[in-house]
Amino acid sequence: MALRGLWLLAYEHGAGGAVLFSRRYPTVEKRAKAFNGESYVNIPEDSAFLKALLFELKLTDPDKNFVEYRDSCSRINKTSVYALPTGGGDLWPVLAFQKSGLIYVCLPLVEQSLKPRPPLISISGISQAFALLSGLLVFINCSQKNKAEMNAKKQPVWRISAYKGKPQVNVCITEKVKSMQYDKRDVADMWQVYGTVTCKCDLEGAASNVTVSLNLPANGSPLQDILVHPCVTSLDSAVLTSCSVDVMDDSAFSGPYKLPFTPPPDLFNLCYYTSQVPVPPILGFYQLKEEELQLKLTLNLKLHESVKNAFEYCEARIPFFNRGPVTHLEYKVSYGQLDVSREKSLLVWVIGQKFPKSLEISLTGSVTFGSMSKEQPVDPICTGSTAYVKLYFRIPDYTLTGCYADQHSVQVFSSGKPKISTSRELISSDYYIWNSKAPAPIVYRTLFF
Amino acid sequence: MSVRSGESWAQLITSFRAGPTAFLLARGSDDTFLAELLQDMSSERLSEQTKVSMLTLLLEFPTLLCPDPEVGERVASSLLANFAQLPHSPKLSWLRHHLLLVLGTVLITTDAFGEGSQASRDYLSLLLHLASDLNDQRQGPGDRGVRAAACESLRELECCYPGLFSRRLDSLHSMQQQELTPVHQGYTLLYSLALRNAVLLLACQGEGTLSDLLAGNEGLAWEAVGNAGTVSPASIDRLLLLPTPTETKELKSVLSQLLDGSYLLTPPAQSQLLWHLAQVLCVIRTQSPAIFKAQLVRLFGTAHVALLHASLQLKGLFTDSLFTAEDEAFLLRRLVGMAQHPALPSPLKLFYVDCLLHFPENRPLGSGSEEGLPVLLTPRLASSLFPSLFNDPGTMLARLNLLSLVCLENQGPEAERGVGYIFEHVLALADTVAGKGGHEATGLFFRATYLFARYFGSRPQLMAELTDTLVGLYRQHCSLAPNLINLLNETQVVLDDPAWPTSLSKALLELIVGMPLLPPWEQELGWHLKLLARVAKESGVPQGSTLEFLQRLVRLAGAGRLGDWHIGQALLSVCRNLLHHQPPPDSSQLAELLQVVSLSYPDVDVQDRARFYYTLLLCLSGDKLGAVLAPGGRLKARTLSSSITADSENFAAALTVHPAPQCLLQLQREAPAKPISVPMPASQPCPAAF
Repeated sequence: MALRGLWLLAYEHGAGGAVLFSRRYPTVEKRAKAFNGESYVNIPEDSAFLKALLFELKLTDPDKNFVEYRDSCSRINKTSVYALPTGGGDLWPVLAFQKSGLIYVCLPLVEQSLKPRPPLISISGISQAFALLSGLLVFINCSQKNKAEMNAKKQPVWRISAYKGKPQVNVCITEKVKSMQYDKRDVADMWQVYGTVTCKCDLEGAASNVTVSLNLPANGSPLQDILVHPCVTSLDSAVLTSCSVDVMDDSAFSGPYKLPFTPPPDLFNLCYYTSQVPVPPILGFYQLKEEELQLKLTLNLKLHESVKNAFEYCEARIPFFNRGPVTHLEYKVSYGQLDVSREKSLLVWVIGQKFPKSLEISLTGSVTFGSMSKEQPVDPICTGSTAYVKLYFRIPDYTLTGCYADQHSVQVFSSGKPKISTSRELISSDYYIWNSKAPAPIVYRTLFF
Repeated sequence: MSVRSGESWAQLITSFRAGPTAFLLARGSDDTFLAELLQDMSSERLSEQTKVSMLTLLLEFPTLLCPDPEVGERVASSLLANFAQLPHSPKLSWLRHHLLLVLGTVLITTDAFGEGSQASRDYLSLLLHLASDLNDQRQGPGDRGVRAAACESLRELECCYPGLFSRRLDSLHSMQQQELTPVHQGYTLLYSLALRNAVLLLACQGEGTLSDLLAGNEGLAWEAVGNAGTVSPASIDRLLLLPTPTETKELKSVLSQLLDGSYLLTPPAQSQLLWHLAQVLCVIRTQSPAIFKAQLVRLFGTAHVALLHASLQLKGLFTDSLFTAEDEAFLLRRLVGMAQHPALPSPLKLFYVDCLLHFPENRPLGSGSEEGLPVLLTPRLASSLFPSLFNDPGTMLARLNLLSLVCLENQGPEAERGVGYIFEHVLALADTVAGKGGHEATGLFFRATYLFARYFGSRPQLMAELTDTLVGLYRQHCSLAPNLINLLNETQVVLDDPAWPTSLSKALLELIVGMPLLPPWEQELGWHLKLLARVAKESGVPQGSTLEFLQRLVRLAGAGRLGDWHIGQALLSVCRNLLHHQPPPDSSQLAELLQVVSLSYPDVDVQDRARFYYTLLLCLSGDKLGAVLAPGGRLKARTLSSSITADSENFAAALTVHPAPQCLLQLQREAPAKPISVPMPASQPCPAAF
């Protein structure tokens, strides 16, 4: 991979930025000069680079209402690739990711003229730059050992450390379910499941191979948009055929999804998938009405009968934005218990480990608020009566798609008989139930009815 | 010179890095910094870590430290001697690794590298010697890092001087085949790069045969030092090589062997290998690219961006000779799926959306460098990419742009419904602005509006509704005036038919002139006047009501309820634009207004400027007035002071009082305290910038 420069910057709102790390590659720079010709732009020194980047990322002058260059409506960044204004012209393509106070930046080499700017897809170094920054982001504190053992066969470059000890293989399927429920005739509810299969293989010998098969029961939902880790050595094309963007068809491949791979030494994500399940696990109904000085709320939740009724935790959070603190609360719950958060802007309905036999629970109540103060949370979407309830739950040993891996579906080709452990779980993620008595943001649009 | 301590070096290195040019300038021309650095490299008192840090200065700023090839050569010789003294200890492996990289960097960047340079010849033989220790047979695994660095250095030389190893392909290939430790990646990349360069140069220069090339086992091609920048992917379409069937077969076996082992490399290295081999095949027309077929399913299924990108690049290069129509449709669906895959980070998804707009089609219609939709991207396929309020701003705008294109280029009820949804989305963004979403929400809404106007500006009904929304927002938040002015300017540039910006201007004008002037309106008045000044530039908008509004203001000023300099200037900016508005507003009314201001406005500077405008209006014909007041008007230099001819948007230029470039007055406290400088008073933060 050819990079002209790599930077790690710190940025704190209000405090400005600092260069934590920077690295230039003068031999690559020399090539850039030759390839870019007249369109070549020199990399400024670190302080000037930082300034230009913060400016481009719209992180300068946070107090100023409108700065033409920064805020012009025609300045639209549709990717994470930026052009930094420098004295000698615009430095491009600068790739920058922002995450938790850090900005990860690099500048890949472009082996052609930059005028006119070539499309990103034609720059072979761009994806490597993406991969580098994503990797840096994940592994910023990770250092890898550089020991390897000799073998008669070529070793995969990613399997560089040798494990000594009791062989074991761990496979975990984590499914997350997102949902947006509106309870409105003209707006479709949305729910989506996506899964990640993580593996940790502690096996002796660099040449050990493992095959994990993901299975679905007869009524399972086919896995779609499967993306596999690069260590997977071969794939049956049937595994890839199902895409979420296609219309569902009954003949879809439904497994087993065989993934043969040579495992890296660390924990890794073997594959990702999405799926379309017929119903959301918990169906909700939320009504909030403003009556004089108080809010009347009704919340019903129903667990679908096909879902395993054994939670590690399950709670419904009812936040109130753009209002003062809760001063008075009257309520009735059919099940579980209701708490007011310390900040007095959130009700937490703790449902616990199980829904009752009827699988339906309800909450009714009225809330009164004090006057608005600075400590109370604000939200640009939840104005007026627009409001939501967010559900948090985890069901161990369960997946919505039905996807599972067991002892028999993990085959290990290595010396010694490894201990195989498998697990699965369902976790809620962005599970919203909107007030059906007010407008709500719509996240899913279909052009077909 | 005595040896500096580790801390002293650490400090020096930090201050050097903070500003390399300034650091060296401060030390003068007869500086000994470099000499000191080289000398201390062999000191035993400094730790390896310190030495590595010292080396990074040469690694990153070689041309600053070594301004010419002679110095480069000297430095390289010194470092080579240094390297030779270091024992083969695993502890020193990191330092030796760095020395190798620095040597290459210095020789290459100072242009010292060449056949005539002793250091270059020594460096190359050192690298080749180190690289020949296959499978750690001589030095053991402890030296593997150094060997990897040697491979990397050789590759860098081949990158910078394409063809340098073109006569040694067989020996590079044999090393590549024999190496089994993870360093095999270095050998594979070195070989594939040398192979690509050699084939491309052969096609360029036409000297020799492919067979000789592959079997080459001679010395170095030093003449390649002049090849820098000649082998570029951009020129590849024009190259062609037609080897004999035997040669093709030989090459095929080499390529197949490399491809079969490709899965053993890290994904970025795989993508590089694939790209090198693809370029070779692109030039050699006798070999079918079907040789890549076996890799495709693996590439299609990957979660790794570099591998997916490699498959897109293969597609761009080989189109239907490698990808069937079915493959194409499949790849596109995968790409749409990945552009919204919940498991992927958002920068990657944005990259995939961008790839969709430059999708390498088997039968492309457009030029490829402009954004364009692939024919197969139907509204049905794209509907999963509808933006939502929960997207980050970049994602939202990228999706909005893509979906707008999809709806624009397709017809039928789905596309119409799509436009409706996009519009609803823009309106929902307006609600977040009204809901005090702050700076970010405002920026996002105006960008979305701009995109919408750009694509659907010719739909009167929707645009009228959008106008109402914008007017409603301005009624609530007058501080949006600069955003609105910017929107007017930008849409006017981008739309073929500027009917919408004009009608938006009219609507804003109507709103403002109809507003009651009630306290506390001082703050808002600045915004109103700024917007009116912009609207007064619209030739299609009648300005009678603006004049009446200004008259009301002036009456208030006369009554002593309004007399601020800023407001006065803002008011005159509107007048200035009215002076050359087409069609001209009622000039007697305007003259009367200017006269009243010049007589009764409570600020003298405002009075002066008004009097000046009044004189201009009375004394100049319409044509002349227009020429004088037009930005950069013809008569500017000859007859008028720059303050009126300048663009009225430009605050500094429009002022009759200009800030001096340097302090005119500086108060200094006599010793011992620090001098306190009193800068010229800056303009007050006021919404009314003129």
